[in-house]
Amino acid sequence: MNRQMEICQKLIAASRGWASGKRGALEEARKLRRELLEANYTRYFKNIPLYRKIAQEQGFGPSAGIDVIKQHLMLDAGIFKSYEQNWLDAGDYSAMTDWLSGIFCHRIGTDVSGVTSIDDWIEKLGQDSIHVVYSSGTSGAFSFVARKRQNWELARTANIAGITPQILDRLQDGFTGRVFQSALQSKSPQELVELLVKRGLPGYDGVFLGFRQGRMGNQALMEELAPLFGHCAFLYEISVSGSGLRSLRRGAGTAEERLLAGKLREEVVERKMQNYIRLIDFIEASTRQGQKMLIFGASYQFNELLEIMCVRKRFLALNRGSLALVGGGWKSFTGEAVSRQSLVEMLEDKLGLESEKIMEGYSMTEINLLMLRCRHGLFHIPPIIEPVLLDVELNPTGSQEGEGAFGFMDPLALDYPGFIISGDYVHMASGECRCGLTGPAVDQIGRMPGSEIKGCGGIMGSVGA
Amino acid sequence: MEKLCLRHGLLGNDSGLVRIPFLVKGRLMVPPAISLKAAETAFNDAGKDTVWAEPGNVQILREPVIERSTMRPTGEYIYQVMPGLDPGELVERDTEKLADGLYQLKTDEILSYIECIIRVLKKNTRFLAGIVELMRQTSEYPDKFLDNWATSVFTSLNPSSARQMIDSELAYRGVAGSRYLDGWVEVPAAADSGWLASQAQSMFTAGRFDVPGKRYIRAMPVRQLHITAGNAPDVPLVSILRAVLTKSAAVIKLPYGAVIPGILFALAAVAAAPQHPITRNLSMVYWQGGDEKIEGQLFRPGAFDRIVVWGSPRAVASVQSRAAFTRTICLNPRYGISLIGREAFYGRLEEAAARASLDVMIYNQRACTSSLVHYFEGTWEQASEYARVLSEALKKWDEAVPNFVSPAVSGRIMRMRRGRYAGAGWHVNSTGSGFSSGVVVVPGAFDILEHPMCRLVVVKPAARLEDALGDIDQFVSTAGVYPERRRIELIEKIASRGVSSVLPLGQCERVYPGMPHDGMLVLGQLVDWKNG
Repeated sequence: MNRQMEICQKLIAASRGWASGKRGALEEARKLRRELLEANYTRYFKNIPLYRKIAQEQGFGPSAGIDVIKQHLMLDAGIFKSYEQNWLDAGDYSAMTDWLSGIFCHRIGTDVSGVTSIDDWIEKLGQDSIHVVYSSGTSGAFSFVARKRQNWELARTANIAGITPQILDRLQDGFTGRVFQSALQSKSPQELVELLVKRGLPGYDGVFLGFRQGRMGNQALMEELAPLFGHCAFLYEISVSGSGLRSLRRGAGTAEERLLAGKLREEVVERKMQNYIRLIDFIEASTRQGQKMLIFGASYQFNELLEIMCVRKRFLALNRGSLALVGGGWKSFTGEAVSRQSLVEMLEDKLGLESEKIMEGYSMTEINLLMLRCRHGLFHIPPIIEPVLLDVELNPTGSQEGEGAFGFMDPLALDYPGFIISGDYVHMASGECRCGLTGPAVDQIGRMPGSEIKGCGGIMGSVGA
Repeated sequence: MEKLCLRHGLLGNDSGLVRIPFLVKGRLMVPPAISLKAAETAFNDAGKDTVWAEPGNVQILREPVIERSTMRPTGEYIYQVMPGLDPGELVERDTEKLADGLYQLKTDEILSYIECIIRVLKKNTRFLAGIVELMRQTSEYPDKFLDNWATSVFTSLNPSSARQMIDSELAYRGVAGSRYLDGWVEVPAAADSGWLASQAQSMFTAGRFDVPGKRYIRAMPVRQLHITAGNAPDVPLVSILRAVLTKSAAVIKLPYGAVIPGILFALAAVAAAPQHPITRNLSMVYWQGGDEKIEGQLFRPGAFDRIVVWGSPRAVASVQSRAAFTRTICLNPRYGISLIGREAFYGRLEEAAARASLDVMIYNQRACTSSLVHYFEGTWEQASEYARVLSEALKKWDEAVPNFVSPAVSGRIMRMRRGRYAGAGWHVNSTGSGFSSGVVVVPGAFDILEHPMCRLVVVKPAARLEDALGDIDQFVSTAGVYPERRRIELIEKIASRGVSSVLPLGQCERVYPGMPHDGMLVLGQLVDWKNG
């Protein structure tokens, strides 16, 4: 494990270097990444029962080369919802725990007796340092991904190391930018994280178009980001309830679920207008005090914010240097798509944001890294990740250019199988980008035919639909 | 037919181009000339899954060529070139013309028309064989299915069966349907003269108002728009036949994957009876489903009296939402199931599996009666044993009737095996090129929308067959039950849950003229029942 952690740290450092425009260590990173991926395969085979079953059914043993893994041993993202829905319907969290153990590198011995909701279950597992996040598609079948706390921290370090240079690139004019620019040159990724946690982002206030707490997609990221701000506001001042959300999609089975679903609906639907107005008040007050803003949310939520501003004739001009981060896709579960172009124009027009400062993130629950869209429209893939483009039969195309199902091998997935074929159908490009980054990148994202729509942009939007 | 095609250069494979005509109110519309290069260029900027293009006044459908010896796509395409479409030409607004002409036809004349079509088809068997070869190049159906389809055309278009359909599906008060179709039929029941009449009698002296008059009923033809589906080549023909038998001024939208079977009828009609009122009121065309410039006009209130829609849930929902003011008959996407009682486990497992495999094989699991999910009464181990035996039966079918599994379906099955259903019990048959059939034992719920419909059976163990009832709803069209005693026991309970047919296991393919379809006597829905 020491060697694996050592490689992880080196890859994170390489990712930071790459994000800062350095290219020297990329080949070394590729070798290290592949070494770790093969070691991870063995780790999965030995420790993850369901992964072992799949590998053995195809005639593979405890070791396999990278090309064999790509061809035969990558998993569909559906593996994270391979439990039986009636366990959740019946509140059988013991069965859920056994299932989770089956796709996890560690045996889970948590006593879940008395647990009656997804939220309590996640809380209980958290007490044993098992960090569970979830996402949902149109069917309301949740995907659950579990990580040990240490693995979660590792992912956080990797994200901060990789994303900070890309954000700083857009913040060159501010004091905060200069402080972190300097730290980026002199400190290790871990020290950078410590500095960030200690200093936060002075001069910035955070606005999160989501819940104060929760483990769903964007929400988990909001929870990580929020402590960096002296002041922050959430669209919904409650914790998002997994059981409540699931009940809204699939129907409530118990009185407790009905209560949770009702509470969620009340907050998201009935109090929607008040909640947005409260946020607008917050943004206005912060701006008046000279603070810059970082606003993070799904595309449809930005749309709602802007619509309510128009209806209520509230005009905001954010201070220079303010940022918007859009995540969670562009399509809602009801099939309505938000146009990226028109949203960017509205953000420029109604909030006074510079287009440079409007960022978009691409990630999913099953991957440990967030990819940021560069100013030329590409989601660059950090050298930590090995992207795999697959044809409709799930054969790797062998190229990092062209279209196909988006697969990835995430070496930081130490606790769960990280060789994943997503439901996204993408177009990839490769080479040097005018933004200064190099390597493979995703430039178009759609869904595979027959795949349900996923993402935070979808599920929360559907609550009010 | 052959001469017509030669004259216009139709239905021949000219280096990958096949020219396909439309029938518009009896007039054969041939597509403009286009080169293969131009057809290929039309798809240049399109994704691999794009099947339709409209460069100018021509429509092109692109179908992947399948190598029959391996049943794998070759990577090449056949381009079906069709005319552009003016939706205004399809709508018939001259109801007087219909009332005086088409609607006056007698049943015997309809049957003679069908006989005429059959005669022409029979004269052109060599030509038909060539068409089957053409279809074979891109058909996702095994060769034997196609061969069987070609011969079944003659039985489907059988005048005697057609009369049975009319007489039984339009029957009323014990009178054969053909009489209502031919004209007004007196209803024996006397209508009450009513309160107004008796009141009038005391008010007016001129004439009698309280004498009950004679009452008549007629099955009046209506203008029909049929939006057909391509899951089976029979579907367009079934729709055409229903339109013809009900003397409709009808438009049949042919589906991707089964344009040629429909156009065959059109050619036969033009060759056999070009001036016949049925031919002159029949249109067979294609447009890309959802095309607003076409559908906007066709779904407009008053354009048609009935819309019949077959197809995917999305297609059906889309038509329903946009044609709210036209009576729509939805032949919804449904599926079949099988229920196998524990009796099978006592020495009759092979027989039950063999019978069940017949229902699986109906149009290679793509018909709405094909069995996709089997409920097996027993333990997990017993269900697994059934799955193993069933997979052996399917293997025999694979050998006798080699399967085609599209790359996309192959990918979906792979995703199931390495994803959501990884923990299930898989029994897979493979050929050199990959999956050919299989059975998967699933412990919990199965999302039917994830079924790839390609010789993959989902087996669900049930402690009692009655436990399966909870899963059964109106989306199940057909249930095959084994053994017979259990079918008799369960038939009411299954049928009351919305299932249209509850039949002995292995007999779900069987149909007969006049048989209810999706809980309806469809011809009865395709006429207006008039009082006179």
